[in-house]
Amino acid sequence: MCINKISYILLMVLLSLYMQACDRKSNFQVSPEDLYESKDLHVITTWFNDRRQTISVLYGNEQATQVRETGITMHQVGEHYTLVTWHQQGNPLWFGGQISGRIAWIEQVDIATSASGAIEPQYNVTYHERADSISGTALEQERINYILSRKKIGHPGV
Amino acid sequence: MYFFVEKKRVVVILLISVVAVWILTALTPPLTNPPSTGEFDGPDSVQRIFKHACYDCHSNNTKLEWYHQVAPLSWKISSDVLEARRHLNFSHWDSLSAADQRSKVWYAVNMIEQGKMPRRDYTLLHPSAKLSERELKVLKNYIVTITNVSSAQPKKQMLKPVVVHTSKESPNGIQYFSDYLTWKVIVATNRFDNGTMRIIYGNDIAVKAIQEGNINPWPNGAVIVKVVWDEGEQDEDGNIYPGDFNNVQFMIRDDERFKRTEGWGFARFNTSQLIPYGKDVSFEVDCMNCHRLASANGFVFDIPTKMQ
Ligand code: HEC
Ligand code: HEC
Repeated sequence: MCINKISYILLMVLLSLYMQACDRKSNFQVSPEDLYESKDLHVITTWFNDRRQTISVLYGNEQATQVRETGITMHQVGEHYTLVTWHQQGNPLWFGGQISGRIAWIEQVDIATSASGAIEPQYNVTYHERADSISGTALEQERINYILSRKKIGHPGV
Repeated sequence: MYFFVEKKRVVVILLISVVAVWILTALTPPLTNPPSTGEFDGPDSVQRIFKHACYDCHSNNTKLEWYHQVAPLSWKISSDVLEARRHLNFSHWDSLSAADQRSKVWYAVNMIEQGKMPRRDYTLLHPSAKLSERELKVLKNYIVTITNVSSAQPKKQMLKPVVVHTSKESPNGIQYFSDYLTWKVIVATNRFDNGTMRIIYGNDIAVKAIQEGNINPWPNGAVIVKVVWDEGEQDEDGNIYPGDFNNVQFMIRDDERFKRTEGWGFARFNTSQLIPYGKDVSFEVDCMNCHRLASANGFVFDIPTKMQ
């Protein structure tokens, strides 16, 4: 009877080693299309919004990044800003984590000159899900002001 | 006749085995239950779950059946329990700071959610220890509640360390570098379990690996950097901006150099002084253990994914 128990135990040990080898199946897949290809742009800052369930990263070209860093309010022709906004979703691998998911929309501001030679920011938005646009509306000026007034995030040793 | 001899031999072999097992069992140092210094003190519903499903390994209140004390099972159990207690001991709960207690419970909830705890070798013999959906929900509600309460209180002022750390080298030899400032963003994240927000950067090899779905395993040379800021101010639209820099963490892929930790080299540098994290090289095993929860993604949590 004792022998039976012992072989049972040995079987359990073997079985348990075998069980440790299997893992839970996942219900998600990698979506490379949501990794924003920022080319030569650098990160200016990031923020998120739990009410709208979005996460944003603001990028700028070299010139824009430097301006944001020094806090200069005068803008120069050639500055370029790209603001990428993702839908926020729960991290499928960590309860408690929220992560950028699908790209929702991308806004761009370029500091250019108008026909009269004055400095004029140009705004452009592309939605990934909607076709409508806010170009030329009051909202457009609001977005330009918002994007241009973001401060650069602090990185260590920078 | 022949049959009789065979039978005798079997009996002798069995007898020798029994004696051997008995001697080995006698030689195993017994697993003791040292006194508890301060038990886990959550609500009853939560305590009941931990006591039922986890205390045999994660407390000084291990209940052993007779067969647990028979070698060789006794060796495995004894080393498992001692290791489990070293990692998480509900009987020494008061030795953890409030923040560490919270992060242990977050860790626990995620281990349970992914079916890693209680361990499968244990639930095989104790099927009732497996948590039901409802029990997991109780734990989730509990941890979300205590986290919200604590983040509503004003953050305690961080004391500025007086010592200036000149070495920016992690105990496993990984040096701090700032190349990631020109890398691509893989994802941006935030965690309501600890009130921080982060950007995850990847070098070209890492980004290419994601684009090609080549992450099991990740190619050598892939480097992922996570920069963590405290959550800062919130505007009237509900946008939450980054506050102070908190820490930066590296994962460097080299399956030869970092064989011990599944081919990933870990390093972390705290505060703007970039103080290397970890008393000695063993810290990386703790990093790796938790990152096993992301084994589906080659041990990386933060990559862009969509539901299937
Ligand atoms: C059969 C023994 C056993 C049982 C039962 C068990 N654990 Fe564990 N647990 C371990 C061991 C051994 C480790 C350390 C090595 C590892 O991660 O596998 C561990 C590690 C952990 C860790 C990581 C702690 C850290 O900081 O490294 C957590 C969290 C955890 N267990 C939670 C739980 C919870 C919650 C339960 C109950 C629902 C539970 N465990 C039940 C054996 C057990
Ligand atoms: C208790 C679990 C846990 C431990 C321990 C842990 N991590 Fe992580 N780590 C996470 C989670 C969850 C994420 C993803 C969510 C987030 O923080 O953005 C993550 C993300 C990361 C990332 C970004 C890449 C990725 O995997 O998503 C790096 C780099 C990283 N951790 C490094 C470390 C280092 C270095 C250590 C040890 C000093 C460590 N981690 C210890 C849970 C853990």
